[in-house]
Amino acid sequence: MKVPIVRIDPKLNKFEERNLFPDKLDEANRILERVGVPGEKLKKSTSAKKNVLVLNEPTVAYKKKKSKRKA
Amino acid sequence: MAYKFVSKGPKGQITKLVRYTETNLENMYNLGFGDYNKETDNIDDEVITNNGDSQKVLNTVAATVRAFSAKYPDAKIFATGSTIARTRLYRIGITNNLSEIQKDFKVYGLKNDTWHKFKKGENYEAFLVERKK
Repeated sequence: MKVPIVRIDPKLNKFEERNLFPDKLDEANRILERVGVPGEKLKKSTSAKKNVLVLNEPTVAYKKKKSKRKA
Repeated sequence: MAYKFVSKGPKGQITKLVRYTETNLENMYNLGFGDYNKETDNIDDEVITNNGDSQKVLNTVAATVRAFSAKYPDAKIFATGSTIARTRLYRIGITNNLSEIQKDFKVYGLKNDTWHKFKKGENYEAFLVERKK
């Protein structure tokens, strides 16, 4: 495999201050705002699932016990 | 950060520029890429160069991804083509080198507003790569 020859060109620093692809950057920001990043989305869905299990199960069990006592 | 390289082919020598720009999300960079126009001192990312070396050009862009993420290991890189055809070209480029890329990077594709682990044969609207820790 060929190894590319890379050299530092200070002339490229002039591009640092400029937004060369404003439309693409806007589009990227719009998409990212809408969909987030892969890790974040995965974390959110996992914790949401955990919350359902932790909150619902004990509540249901407690209610059943109580109703038995009344009967 | 910007990277410059030259495409050599039947249309002559064409200077290409790859630019990584910060997005509104922390550590997330947009990959912009196009032909450098000396007269306007600007980059055209919609021009069709047809210099007969598109595979080489794509490989060089991929080399800049490696160089950039080596310098900024926490960076996530977002990329999408300026046209559907270009996005498809990016997809083909990733597909052809997927096993090599996945040694060092996590690769995702955007489909129906959801990020998926990149799979061969799937169409995506955008791509996201991040260096494995």
